[in-house]
Amino acid sequence: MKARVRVPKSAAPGEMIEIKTLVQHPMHNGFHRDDDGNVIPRMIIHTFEMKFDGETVFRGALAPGTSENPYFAISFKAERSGTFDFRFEDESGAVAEVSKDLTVA
Amino acid sequence: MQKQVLALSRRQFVLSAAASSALLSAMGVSSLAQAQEMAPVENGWEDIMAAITDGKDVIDGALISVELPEIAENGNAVQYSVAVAERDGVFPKSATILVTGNPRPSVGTFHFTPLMGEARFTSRLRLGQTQEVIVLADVGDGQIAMHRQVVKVTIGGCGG
Repeated sequence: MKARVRVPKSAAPGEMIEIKTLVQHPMHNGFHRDDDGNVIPRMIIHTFEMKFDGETVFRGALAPGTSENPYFAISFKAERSGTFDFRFEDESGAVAEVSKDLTVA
Repeated sequence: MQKQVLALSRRQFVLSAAASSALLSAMGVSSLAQAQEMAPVENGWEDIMAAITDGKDVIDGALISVELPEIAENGNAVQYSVAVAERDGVFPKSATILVTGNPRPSVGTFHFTPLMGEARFTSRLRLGQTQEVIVLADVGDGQIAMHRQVVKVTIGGCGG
């Protein structure tokens, strides 16, 4: 599982910005079949969490209706400089984590 | 942005929701968080909706803005945006996205915090066929706002 995140390099105080994430994951919903016709067991990312300086900004409890390679764009009000932490976890316990700094000036 | 007339009248909805939620309560499922985040076995969309609205007032979707295509050529990844407006200084708590025509009816539950500035996000969902997308937003004060919208699908996105 590999996650990419795009955060604006800088923002003005009070500016509304958008944080974009894309994580590579098949999000198997339990209905997909492999090339031999066998059902691929369900395996999805169940949690996505975005924090800023340790405080939760947005949290998604994902279900099979979310598309493969989940994409999110999340609104955020830039008030001060700090660090975003992004965490994705799937049903096998695999985790992808990314950190990004935001400069507010 | 579109407003859809609810498929069920409020009275019908409240009655069916009450019946379903009584069943869910009997099973010990009292909230969506529990229904979704603990149970690997998923209920139908009506059951999930009943669990979310159990004991809450259901109001129309005026506080919810949804961007969805009218027609999706590829149901595997249909981009959507949801924004829930603040009301009386109360920041929206969450939004649950349900679909009525997939074998698994939930897209997810998304929790907001005031750090967002605006309760708004964009993502992509799967639609196996033409069906309704339902957004249930917890707007605080014990109220759930509901928005329903049909998306036509020309190539489905659930099979293998």
